[in-house]
Amino acid sequence: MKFSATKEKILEGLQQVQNVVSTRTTLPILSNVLLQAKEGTVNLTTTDLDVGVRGGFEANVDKAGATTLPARRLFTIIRELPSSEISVEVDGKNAASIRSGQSFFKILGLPEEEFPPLPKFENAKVVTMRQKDLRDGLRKTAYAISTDETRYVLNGVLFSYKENKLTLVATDGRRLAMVDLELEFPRSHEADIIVPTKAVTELARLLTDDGDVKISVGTGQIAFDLNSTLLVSKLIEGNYPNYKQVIPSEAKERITLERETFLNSLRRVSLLASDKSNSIKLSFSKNNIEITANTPEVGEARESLPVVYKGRDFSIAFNPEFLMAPLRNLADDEIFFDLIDEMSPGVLKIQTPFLYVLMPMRVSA
Amino acid sequence: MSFSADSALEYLERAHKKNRLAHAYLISGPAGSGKSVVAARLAALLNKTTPERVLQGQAPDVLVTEPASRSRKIVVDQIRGLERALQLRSAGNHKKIGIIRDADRMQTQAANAFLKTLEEPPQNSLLLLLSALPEALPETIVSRCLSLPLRSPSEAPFSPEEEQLLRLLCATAQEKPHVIERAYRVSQGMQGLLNAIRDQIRDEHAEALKREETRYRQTTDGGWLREREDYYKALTESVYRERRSRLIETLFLWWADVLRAKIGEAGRLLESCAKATAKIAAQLNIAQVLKRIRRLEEMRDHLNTTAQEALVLEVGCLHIFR
Repeated sequence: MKFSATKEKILEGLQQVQNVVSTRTTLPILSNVLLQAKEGTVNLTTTDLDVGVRGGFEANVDKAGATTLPARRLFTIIRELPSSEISVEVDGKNAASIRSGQSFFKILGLPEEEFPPLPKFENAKVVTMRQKDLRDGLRKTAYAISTDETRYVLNGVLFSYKENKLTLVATDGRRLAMVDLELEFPRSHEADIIVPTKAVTELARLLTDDGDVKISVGTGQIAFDLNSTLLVSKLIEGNYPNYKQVIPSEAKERITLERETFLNSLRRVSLLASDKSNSIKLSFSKNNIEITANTPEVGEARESLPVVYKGRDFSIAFNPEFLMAPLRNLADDEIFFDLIDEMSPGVLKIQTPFLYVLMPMRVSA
Repeated sequence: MSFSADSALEYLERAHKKNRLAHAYLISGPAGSGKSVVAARLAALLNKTTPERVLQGQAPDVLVTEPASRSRKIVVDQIRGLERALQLRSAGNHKKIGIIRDADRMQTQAANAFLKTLEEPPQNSLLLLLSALPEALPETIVSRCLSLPLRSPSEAPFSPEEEQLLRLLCATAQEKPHVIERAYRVSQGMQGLLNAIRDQIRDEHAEALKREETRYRQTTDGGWLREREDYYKALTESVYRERRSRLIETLFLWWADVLRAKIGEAGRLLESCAKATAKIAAQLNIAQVLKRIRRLEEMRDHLNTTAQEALVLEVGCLHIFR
């Protein structure tokens, strides 16, 4: 195998795939990246057996071929090379010679046959959507994924295909984020699947604002084809809890808020939310919200926010982190906060189909 | 009721054909009764692979867990890793099979962490717990599994080191009773045997590590190899303890025969040593024999603590073989 390419192209390609290489591996070859050179491109593949990514870069391929090289070692060498033109030649014993300007490196690899192939997708159910839509959807939901390993079904995002909608849901039991995306697909494609956190994180990194993504759902696995890159992942076993029953069907009060302003106020006041109770209180009165936090023996913070509000006076408390997370990840200027009373969950909404359900915290009078 | 390895496998196959396999089995039986073989053959049948690949840990969707810590325990991280793997769906149409060898060596925390998964494993998975000492398992684990006891094979062959130990015991039986030299000889002999076993295991593992190092040192990133060194260190200790416990079991067989000779019971576990055990029996009364068996139990328990091995053996032999 022999090819030459620019340093930027190779680095970009390696950055796309190298996150999947895990530090704790069961097979030594999993810390290597598979390089396959042919017809003007070099494909790069990494996998940890649960998640796999294939990317690539343009190159002048003088001699087609394939090998595997230690991913981190290759990346650090390429990053430090002095010149922008890099040529790589691999001999029959998987020894790679890397030349750039005055520098020369030789590193050893393992034969490509040892590298576990990415799974094949036969009879997969395929849908296509805009990358931008999926990226926005994941951004609005992924922060609510649970990290509690005892409830493993929550350690991912639910992809629910139903009635020409793709619904994305993430929850950790105290809050829930949900997005509906319009999507055309035949009835036979209806399904509920759970994509694990690692795949969601990688996917969010790879998705761009242009182009389409082709999603294939096979038995126990899913593939996201982004034209230049491909991500495959195993799915989480089990059924996602019935999330619909935690979404309040009614709302007594709707408060319209400016997202940035609200977020900034919360951020300031939360500085004095105690580590122990970690709560922040919102007190509603006529055309005003008072946001307060206090830690006994440390101090208190208070801030007023003028709003349009004509309902009854009441107070409700929330975990400040949980309240700020969606505000940070939304892009809209205006958000709606639906409330019932001090004991019922609050719901954040925007103009497009999105909602965020947040359980209130009990406050002592 | 206990099964032979073949009939146990037939039973499991029948259950599989009728789609009535339970979610967890506890396959128990003495060493050599074929627990691993039954598990490997069942896994191979379900996932269409070969038993050899299962035992080497290379079969898809089969996860083998065994004691690999220095104290020969299955630690909680191993159980968590197994659980995590079971929570992901299989890529093919396979069953996910978790095989836990020497399940009785699970740490308490590991066993507790495992309870929830064991009671309600993720869909499409099967758990096989193997144990030679099922009574050492917590009740909470046993009650969550279907028990499948295996019969001991009709003739369990002795390993070379067990043969050597028996020869040593027979030889010392001819010596003058009630003198300290006899106990000392047994203790020295045992320690010699144990040292040889330890050296042999260490050499084998050093060689395996070296083979892996020459292959992977330069061709992959270092993380895996660093872990391997620790892994082999722990494995050496773990395998050593297993073989040491077999020698101790042999001592139990010996004293069981002495007791049989003393009370005039026919049949010997160690046929070849019948004369020697009879001779020992003639030198002691029943209370003395029972006392020595209790001392042997104490020695076995002490060996599983952090007490210094040589000291435990010397003190133990002094009581047991004087």
